[in-house]
Amino acid sequence: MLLFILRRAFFAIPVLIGVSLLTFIMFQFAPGDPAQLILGNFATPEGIAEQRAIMGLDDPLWLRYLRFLAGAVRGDLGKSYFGRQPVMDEILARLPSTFELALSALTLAVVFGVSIGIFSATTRSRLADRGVMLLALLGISLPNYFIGIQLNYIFGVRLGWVSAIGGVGDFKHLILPATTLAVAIGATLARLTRSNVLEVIHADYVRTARAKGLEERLVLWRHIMRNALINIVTVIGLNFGVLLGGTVFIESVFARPGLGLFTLSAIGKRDYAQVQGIVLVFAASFVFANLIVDLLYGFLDPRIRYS
Amino acid sequence: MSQSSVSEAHTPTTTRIHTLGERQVQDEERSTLAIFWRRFSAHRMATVGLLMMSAIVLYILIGSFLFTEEYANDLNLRHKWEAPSAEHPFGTDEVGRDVMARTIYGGQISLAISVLSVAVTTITGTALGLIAGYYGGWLDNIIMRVAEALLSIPLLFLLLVLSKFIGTQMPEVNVLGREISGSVVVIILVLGFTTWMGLARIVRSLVLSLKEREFVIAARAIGMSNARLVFRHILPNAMAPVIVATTLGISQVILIEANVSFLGLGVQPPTASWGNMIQRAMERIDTAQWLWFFPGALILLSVLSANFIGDGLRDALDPYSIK
Repeated sequence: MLLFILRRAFFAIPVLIGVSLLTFIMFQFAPGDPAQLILGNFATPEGIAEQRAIMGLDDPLWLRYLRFLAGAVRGDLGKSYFGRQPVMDEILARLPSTFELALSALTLAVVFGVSIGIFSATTRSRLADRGVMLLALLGISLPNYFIGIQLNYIFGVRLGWVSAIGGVGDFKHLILPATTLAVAIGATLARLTRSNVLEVIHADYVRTARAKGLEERLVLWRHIMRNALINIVTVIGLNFGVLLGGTVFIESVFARPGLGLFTLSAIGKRDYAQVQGIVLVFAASFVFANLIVDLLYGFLDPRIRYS
Repeated sequence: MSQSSVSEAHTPTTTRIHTLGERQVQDEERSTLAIFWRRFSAHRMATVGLLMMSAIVLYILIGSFLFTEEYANDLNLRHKWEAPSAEHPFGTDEVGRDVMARTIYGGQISLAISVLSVAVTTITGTALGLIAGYYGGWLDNIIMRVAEALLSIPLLFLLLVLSKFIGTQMPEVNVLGREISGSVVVIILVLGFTTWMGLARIVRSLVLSLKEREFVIAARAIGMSNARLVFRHILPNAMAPVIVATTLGISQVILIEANVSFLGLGVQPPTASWGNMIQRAMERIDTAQWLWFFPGALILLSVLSANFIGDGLRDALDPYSIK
């Protein structure tokens, strides 16, 4: 098992290098000269030349990439253009609130999505199945921020149950943003769980398990869900990017300070050092999430572990 | 176009059919196209989707004969925030423009963005998947590594960064007599070039298995050129998942356009799109519901119908389904 974990972790390294290379190349096409952006419109040509020399902008491309990579590995993402703060510190300061949001949304999505899917696949009521699936379909057919604003209007403004706008830290400020972010992924998971359960519910080994008198609860969890979980876990991993991207909308709808709002402000003022750092951190967490998914495969399906 | 290529293909499904029960044996007597249509139309939601989508397309086409675009962009501050009436069936917005006319012209933009960007995605994804799968080697390696790296960066960040990079320099473009904001072209290109990876992976894996099949080996043995082999035998057999992914991609893009509009990086005014209409309507969520209700309903209906059609196509084109 340890060997399996190490091997999978090793495979993530080339992906991370690829991501850093792609990010680096992408930002070479950013309009404007970084030195000019830092010094502003009234900079003298000499000042700009000096700033370029300090930043090493005149070095060949490969050298600059290696410097960028060497820094990134040590957790140094350079300094922001305008605040002149280490980008890594700026990101780390905002990471907890965004992770809190993303993880609570993911938990909500998995718990509700999977149970709704199981319910829909196993219920004898055709009407309930149809109704629940129609709701799930609505969840993936409307823009996320639209759902957020509507929920906020209904529960925050009209009913006054929660005041979700602004602020971080307590449950009251978390519940609506997390729910909104969970809607699309939860709905996707509900649809997927339903179809996966339906696929195996008539399999021979499920019939055998029932025939030998196994409790229905155990048939569901040991035989049906264990097989359906592999697909569910894959989709969760792939949706991690949607989740991270979603935090940008949710944070701006609910004015919730975090990495998402930070991203928007960085893009708005063209602080490419910040944007580049954010993209890299998000991509790295996506790769990391999918590494965990990979490891879960081995846990769920022994055949994968030993091959 | 896609349907004729399906019917021309030597579908390997016909050889498998005997084992799949009586209904399939009947299928063998009809053309592939007829089988496809029978299966698709048996899918009730897919038919509903097709009808809904046709209705929406008719609405935005016929609508442009009823209202001019000048009318859709015509400011009239004396009539702002008017509720739906006989004169303005969908009401008016914050500067007195007719919401119905704007949903018509905005719909043309929203649907054009989705169709065109999905076309870019489909062409890029299919071509790269074909090349990677068919030629293999270092080409395959490079394409798939780039795809992997691109997939690791959450789509939204790619969109935000790229549209910022190339967004500002785009001039207005003139299409069919309409002045369209350059942001439309930017969105189409950016979306097209950031969403091809999934499709490329699917096509590549199909090509890898197809090129070992007997009919491809036989075609190669009689000296068929690479190009002919790819376009005549491999591509037609890989079309089904491409068609399904394309249809589902359209619904995705309609939503993405709306989402990106919310961040102010979508289609720029005065050009309307469903996304930017709904975004500005959010300020008046409680007092002017018609502002978000109509574009919202149109987004919802078109996304739903594209999803329904996609599901129907998947069932109808899947050689393994016994339905």
